[in-house]
Amino acid sequence: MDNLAIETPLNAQLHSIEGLSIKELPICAKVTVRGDMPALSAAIESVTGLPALMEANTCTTAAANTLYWLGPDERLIYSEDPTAETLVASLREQLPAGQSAVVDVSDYYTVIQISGVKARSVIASGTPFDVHPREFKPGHCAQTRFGNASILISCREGDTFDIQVRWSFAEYVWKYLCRVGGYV
Amino acid sequence: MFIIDCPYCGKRDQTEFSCHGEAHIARPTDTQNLTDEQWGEYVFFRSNTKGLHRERWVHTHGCRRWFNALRNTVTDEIFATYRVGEVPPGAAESQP
Amino acid sequence: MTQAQRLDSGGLIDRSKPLRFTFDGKPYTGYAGDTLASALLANGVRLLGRSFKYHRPRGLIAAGSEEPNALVQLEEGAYTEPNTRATSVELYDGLVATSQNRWPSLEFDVGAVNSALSRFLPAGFYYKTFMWPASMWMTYEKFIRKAAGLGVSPTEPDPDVYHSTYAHCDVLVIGAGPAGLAAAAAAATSDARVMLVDEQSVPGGATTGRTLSDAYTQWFEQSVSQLHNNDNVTFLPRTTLTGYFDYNYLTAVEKITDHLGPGRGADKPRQRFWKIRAKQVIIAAGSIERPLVFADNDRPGVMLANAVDTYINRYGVLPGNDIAVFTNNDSAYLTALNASANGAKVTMVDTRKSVNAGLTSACEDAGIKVFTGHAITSVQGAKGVSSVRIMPLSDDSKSVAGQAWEIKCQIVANSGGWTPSAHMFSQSGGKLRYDNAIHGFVPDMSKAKSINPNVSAGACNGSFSTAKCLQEGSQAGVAAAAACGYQSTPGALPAVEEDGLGGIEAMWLVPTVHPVGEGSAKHFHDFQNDVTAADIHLAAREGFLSVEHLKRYTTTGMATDQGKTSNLNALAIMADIRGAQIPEVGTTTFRPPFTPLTFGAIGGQESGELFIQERHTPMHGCHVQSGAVFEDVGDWKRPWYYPKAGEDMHAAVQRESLAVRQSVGMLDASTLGKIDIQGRDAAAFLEMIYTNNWKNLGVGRCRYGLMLNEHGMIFDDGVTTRLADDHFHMTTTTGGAARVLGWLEEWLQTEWPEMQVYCTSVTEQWAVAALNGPRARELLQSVTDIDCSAEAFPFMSMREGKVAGIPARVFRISFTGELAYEINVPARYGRQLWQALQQAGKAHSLCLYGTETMHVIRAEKGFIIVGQDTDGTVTPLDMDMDWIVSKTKPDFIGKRSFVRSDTNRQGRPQFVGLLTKDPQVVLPEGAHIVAEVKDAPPMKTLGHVTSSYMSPNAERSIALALLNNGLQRKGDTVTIRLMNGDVVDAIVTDPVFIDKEGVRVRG
Ligand SMILES: [Zn+2]
Repeated sequence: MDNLAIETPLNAQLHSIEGLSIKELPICAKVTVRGDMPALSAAIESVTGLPALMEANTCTTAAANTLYWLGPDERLIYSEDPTAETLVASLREQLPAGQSAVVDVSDYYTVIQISGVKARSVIASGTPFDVHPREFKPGHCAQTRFGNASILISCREGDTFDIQVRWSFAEYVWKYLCRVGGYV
Repeated sequence: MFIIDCPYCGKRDQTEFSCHGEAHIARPTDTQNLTDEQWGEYVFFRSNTKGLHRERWVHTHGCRRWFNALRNTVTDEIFATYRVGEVPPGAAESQP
Repeated sequence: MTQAQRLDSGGLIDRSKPLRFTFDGKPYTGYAGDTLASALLANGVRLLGRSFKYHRPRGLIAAGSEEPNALVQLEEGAYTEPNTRATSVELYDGLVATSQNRWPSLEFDVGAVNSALSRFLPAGFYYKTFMWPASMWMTYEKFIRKAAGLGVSPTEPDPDVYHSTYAHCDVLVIGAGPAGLAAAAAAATSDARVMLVDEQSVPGGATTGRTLSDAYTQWFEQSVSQLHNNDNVTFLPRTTLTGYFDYNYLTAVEKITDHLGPGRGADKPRQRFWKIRAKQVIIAAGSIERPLVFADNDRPGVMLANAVDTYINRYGVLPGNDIAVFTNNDSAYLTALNASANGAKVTMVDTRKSVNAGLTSACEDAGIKVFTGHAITSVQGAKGVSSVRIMPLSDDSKSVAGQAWEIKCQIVANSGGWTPSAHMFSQSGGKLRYDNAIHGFVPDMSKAKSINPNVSAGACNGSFSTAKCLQEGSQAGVAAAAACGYQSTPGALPAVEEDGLGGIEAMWLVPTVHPVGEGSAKHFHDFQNDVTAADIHLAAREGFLSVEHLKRYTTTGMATDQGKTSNLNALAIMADIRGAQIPEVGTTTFRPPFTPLTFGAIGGQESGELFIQERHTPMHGCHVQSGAVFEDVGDWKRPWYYPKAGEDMHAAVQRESLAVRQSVGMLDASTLGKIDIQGRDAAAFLEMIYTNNWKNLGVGRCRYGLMLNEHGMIFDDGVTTRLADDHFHMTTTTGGAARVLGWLEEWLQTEWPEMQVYCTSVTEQWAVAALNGPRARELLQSVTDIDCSAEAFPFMSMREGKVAGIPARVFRISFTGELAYEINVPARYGRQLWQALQQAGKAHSLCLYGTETMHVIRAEKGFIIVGQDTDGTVTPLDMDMDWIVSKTKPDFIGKRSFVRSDTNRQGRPQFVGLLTKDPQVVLPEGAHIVAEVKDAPPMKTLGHVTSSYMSPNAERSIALALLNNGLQRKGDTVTIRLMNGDVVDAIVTDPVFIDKEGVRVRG
C-alpha cells in the first residue's frame, strides 16, 4: 500500500492571480462522528485532545487535528495522517457500542484553500452565507451552498478559507472559483 | 426569499433549506388495523391552512437537521422555528 | 454634422471629447457625458421610432428610465440588443443604433396604414377578432407578431460574460438623489454596512446639472467623496434595483462595461447581478412626472417638462427653439423660465384659472406669454410638432370654447404632476394610499409588510422639495442605522431654496372640440402599448371597470415600462367615467423587474460548464482516454459506450453485451449511491424501510431491497450489506442517492428519534469497478489475495482484502445475471484500480462497457430500473416481485397501502416481457399497447413499453412493458401502435429472456 500513489480530484492544482490564490490541499484523514452528547464529546476529546462541546458553526485546531461542528450530534475531525484507520479505531474504542457512528470520509471530500484580498468576494459570488470579516472570523465554519454544491467553509485566518467539497463536485467548484476570480 | 432561523445554525438563506409540508402528523402505529379512511387521512390529507401553519423544514445544505416552523402562509412571516419534539409555540392556547 | 440644438455652455458633458455614432445608418456626433437620447436631440433628431400598434411616429418623452417611446435596436450581430431605451444608453464612440417597429424605413412605414385603420383596431381587438376558430390562431399569431413586433433578438451566442454575487448590508439605500445621498451619508457616519445604488452614471438624481446653492454643492461633493472613501460603504452607480422580495432580499443590475461599447470591457463582466440581503432598506427612488392626456399628445416633440429641464441642465441641449409649456401645476414654470433663459421662445399654457402671481410675473419679466385657464386642443405636425392650438377651458374644465390661438413650436413641454416612484415599496408588499394634496399614490406605512423593514424618503414619499428630501433622507439614515444597532452622527444639511411641485389642480383628460373617441385626434396615456383615453371609455362601456380588468383588456400599463408614466392617468380617467374616487378603481401592483434586464445578468457566471455541475468519478480520466461516449445520469457523466474505430453506438453496444456474457466486462459503478448505516437499531430500521427481512441477514452477507413510499409505490432499490451486527453498507440508484439519504434521515429524525441509527453518505468515498461475466473470477483472482472460489466467496456476500495491492471491499453481487464482483476501493485509488484491472484483463478478454450495455444486459434478465420500468405508480406486486415482500413483518413503510382498494383492484398495470413477432423489430420505448387499432388517436391504451433493446445474447429484440392485467396475459398477442402509424404485434412473455434458472450468477 505504501507504494501506491494517492490521487485527489484536482491533483493538487494551483491557480494564482493578483490578490487570489486557489489550491487543493493534500489529502488528509477525515472522520465523521455522530452520537449523543456528552459521550461523543468525551470520546473525541480523549482521542484528539480537542474540546467537542463547542459552539455551533465553529472549528478548532490543535496539533495535527482540526475539529468541526457539523450538527448537534455530529462532528468532523481532520487529521494530518493520510489515512483514517487509526483515528477510526481509537474513536470506536472510546464510544459506547451501538450508540454512535464513526465513518471514514477522507476520500469523500477534498479541500480547496482560497486566500488573498479577493477571496471573500469570490466566495460571496456563489454563497448566500455572509462572509464579511465582521461576521465570519478565524475559527468560524459553516455548511452552506456554493453554486449548486454543498460546502463546508471555514475561516483559517484573515483572508484564508478552506472549502470542503465532495469529490465529484470538486471540479465544478474549482472552475467556479477560478472563473469568478477574474470577475471580482 | 425567506431568512430561516435554523434552531441549530441560526439565520440562513432559504435556498439552504427544503420544506416538507405540514408538521405534527404522526405515523399511525397500528397500521394494519386502520380502515381505508383512517389510512387515507394520514397518507393523503393535509389541512392546507390559510394563516398560521406548522410545517417541517430541513437544513439541506447546512446541518441536515429537521425542524419545525410556524409560518403565516398569507404574509410568509415565520414566527418561530423549533426542534422536533419541542412543543410548538402557542400550542397551549390554540388547543381546544 | 452640426449639433444645432447644443448650447454653447453648461451641462455635465465634455465638449472636448466628441463621440461619433450612427442612427439608422446616418452619422452624428455627440459628446462624452451624453446619452444616445441627448445626443440625438442635440442633432435635432426628434423622430425616433414608430409606435407599437398604430405605427405612429414617435420621439422622446422623457430623459430617464421611464421613457416609453424611444426604444432602439442597439448594435448589430452578436452584440445587438432590442428595445433599449435611448435615454438609458450612455453614448460611446462608434455606437450604432437603429429604429424599431418600422418597415421599410422610419420615414416611410407601411404599417402606418394601421393608423388609418385605427377605428378597426380598438382595445380588445385581438381577443375579439382572432379568437375563433381556435385552429386559425397559429396563422393569426404569425401575422400579428410580424406586424407588431418590437426589436429583434440576436441569433448568435452572447459574447459577453456576466457576474452575479450575493451581498449583505445593514442599510441599503435605493437612489442617490438628495434624499438617498442624505440617507446614506447619515447612516455611514455610524459603523453600519451601507449600500447605495443608483441607476445613473453620476449621483444627484433630479438635481443633476442644476445649481441649487453653494452650500448644497459643497455638501453634495463632500458627501459623495466621503461615501466613496468609506470602507463600510458600497456605492454602486449605473445600478438599477430591479426587484424587492421577502425578508429584504433585493436584486440589482450593475452595468459595468455597457457605457464603453461592445467588446471594449477587456475581460471584465459586462454586468453584475447583485442579490442583496439588507437589514433595513431606505427607498429614495424619486418620482416620475406624468404627462397630460391631450389630443395628439404623442407627436414627436411632445415631452415631459422635466425632460426639457434635464436636457438643458445636464446635457447642454435645448430641445427646441420654440417651446410651449403646458401644465396643471407650478413645477413646469421652472422649465419655462429655464428654457427661456437658455434662448428659447416660450409660451406658457396653464389649465388652471388662477395661478400664483409670483410665477406669472416672473414669466412676464422673462418675456413669456402665459395663458391661464387654457388647454391645448390639437397638435400639428405628423413627424414632429410644428404648432399647437389652444382654447379657453369652460368653468368646469370639461370642455373648451371661445377664441382659439395657434402657437408655433417644435416642443411641447407638459406636466400633469408628479407620481411618487412607489414601485419598490409596492414590490415589498406595502400598500399605497392616495394623497389628494399631490394627486398621487404614496406609501402607506401603516400597511407595510413587517418582514420587509423599509422606509421611503423624499419624492417617492410624496415630498418633492429638495429641502424636504434632504431632511427625510437624513432622518431615515439615522433611524435605519439605529435599527441595526449603530449610532450615527449626521452632519448639518445645506440650505436650499423652496422648489418642488407647488400648487396643482387635477386635470386627467384634457378636453378638445370633439368628445373623446370622436374625430381623428387621439389622447394617449400609455405610449408604449398605444392605449388611448378612448380605449378606457370602450372598456368601461363593455364592463371592464376594475383596474385589473382594465389593464388586461386595454393592455394599459403592461408594456416593458410597466406604465411608469401612464398608470395613474388610466386610473383617474376610469374613475372619472365611473364617477368614482381614484382609490376605488384600485391601484396597480408593481412587479419586478423595475426595468427590463438581460438574461445574461441573471445567469451571471453560472453559464456554460457552470450552468449545471458535471460530477465525475475518480476513473473519469480513464474513460476519456478509452474514447468513451458519455451519458448524463443525474449530474454525473457516465460512460455510455466505448466505440472502437469505425463502430457506431449499435455496433459498440452489441459487442459489449456479447462480451459480458461470453468473457468478462468492466463497468464504472462508482456513481451508485452509498450510505453507511450504524447503530444498534440499524437492522430494525431497515425492516421498516425495506419490504423484506433484514434482522436475519448474516454479517458479510448482501441482500437486495425495495423501498416504497407510504402509498405502497416503489421509489428506490439497491443492495445492502451487513458489515457488522450494527453496521450496514447500503447502495441506492445513482439518481436516487440524495433522495434516499433524505428519506432515511426524515424517518429517523421526525418519526423515530428514539432509534439509535446514524446514516452517512459515503458515495464518493468509494470508487467501484464492477466485473461481470463468466471469466470475472479468474480475472479477479489474478489480482487479489481474497479466495474467490465459489465455496469461499459465495454469491451475495462481501469480502475484504487487497485487489491490485489496494485495500478493497469486494461484493459478489450482480446486476447482469452473470458471475460478478463489485470492487470498492477508497476513491484515491480508483484510477489505479481501474488501470490495474484493465491491464490484468488483457489475459481474460476483458471488455469495458457503459451504461447502455448495462441496460441491455439487465433487461435480458428482466431486472428493473427504478424510474424507467417503474414510474412511481406501481407496487412490488405490480412488478411481479411479491417474492421480496415479507409476509411475516407486522409493518413496513407502504405495507398498509397494499390492501387499499386501488392497489388491490383488477386490471392494474403489471410487469411483463414482450417479444415482437418479427424478431428484428425493436419497439420504441414509450410505445402504447392498444385495445383496438384505429387510424388516429384516441385509442384505448392497455399499457406501454418501458424498456426495449436489440439483444445480441437472445439474438432478437426484447422488450419490457407495463400491461394491464399483464400477469394473466402471458402467451397472448398484443398490438402496439407506433407514432408513425405502424402496427406491431408482440407476444406477452415472462420478463426473463436469458438463463431463466439463474445458473450463471451462482457459478
Ligand atoms: Zn442548521
